[in-house]
Amino acid sequence: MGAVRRRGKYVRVSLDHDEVRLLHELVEQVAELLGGDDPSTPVPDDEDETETEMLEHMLESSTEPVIAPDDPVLRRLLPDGYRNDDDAAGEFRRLTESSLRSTKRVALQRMIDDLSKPSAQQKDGRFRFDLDEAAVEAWLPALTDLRLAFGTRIGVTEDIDAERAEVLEGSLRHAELAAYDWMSWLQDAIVRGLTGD
Amino acid sequence: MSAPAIERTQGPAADDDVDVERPWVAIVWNDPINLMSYVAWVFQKLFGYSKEKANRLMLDVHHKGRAAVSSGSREQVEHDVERLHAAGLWATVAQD
Repeated sequence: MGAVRRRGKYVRVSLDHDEVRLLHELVEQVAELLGGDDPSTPVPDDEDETETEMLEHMLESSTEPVIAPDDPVLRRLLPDGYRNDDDAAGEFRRLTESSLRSTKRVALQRMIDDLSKPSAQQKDGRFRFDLDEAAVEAWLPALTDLRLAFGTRIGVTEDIDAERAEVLEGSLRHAELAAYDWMSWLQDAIVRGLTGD
Repeated sequence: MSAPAIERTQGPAADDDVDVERPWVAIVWNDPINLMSYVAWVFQKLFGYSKEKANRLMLDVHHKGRAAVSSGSREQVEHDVERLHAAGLWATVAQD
């Protein structure tokens, strides 16, 4: 099991090999999910885009309201901005979805990059990640998107506590909930490491 | 947020009569996945709220099912909702 503690200006996260691999794999999947199937506009990767290129992209983007994605995971990652008003929701989506996808992908990519180069390997074999404020501010929304994606996929509801008490050890459901609970623990520990609570 | 099941309240109905006096608000809705500690941190981070105010709003979301977390012009509130979405919170624009 990983460990999280505050070390000076860093939040220090220690993870074993399997934990690093699991996070790396799943975060990459969320980033891929957000990268594909974008109905509003192609996502420009180049930050040094010229004004002309930016205008070209603006012209490429649709002027029609964009409908919400079918996939429940994408719908949770990219929620409607208005309730009970499809026109306003579609217009909001047209204006914001593309940049929302790229903001999320930047944070997820930061976490992938950090996971690829640990700060050190400890004597116990675990990998250590010393996260400064900028890293934590990328990891927290990235972990949120990971938990939203994973939690939606495995059907987490408000009744999860009751379900947890009844689930059979050794079942697939038990493994899913254990993985989900571990991700929740990790994110919560990083928040607390940051805020000192 | 990770909490016992609660009654969901209905969101505001779409209304064609736009009243310029009614301020726009960003509503955050309860969801079963987001963590209480993280949601409170997001309110501090995005809006510069004190720890106390952020916690109070987080608990409103948790117990009442939703809370208005910021208000202003429609443009400002849409921007806030976009930032809340980037943080992974379930947020919508509404008129108070």
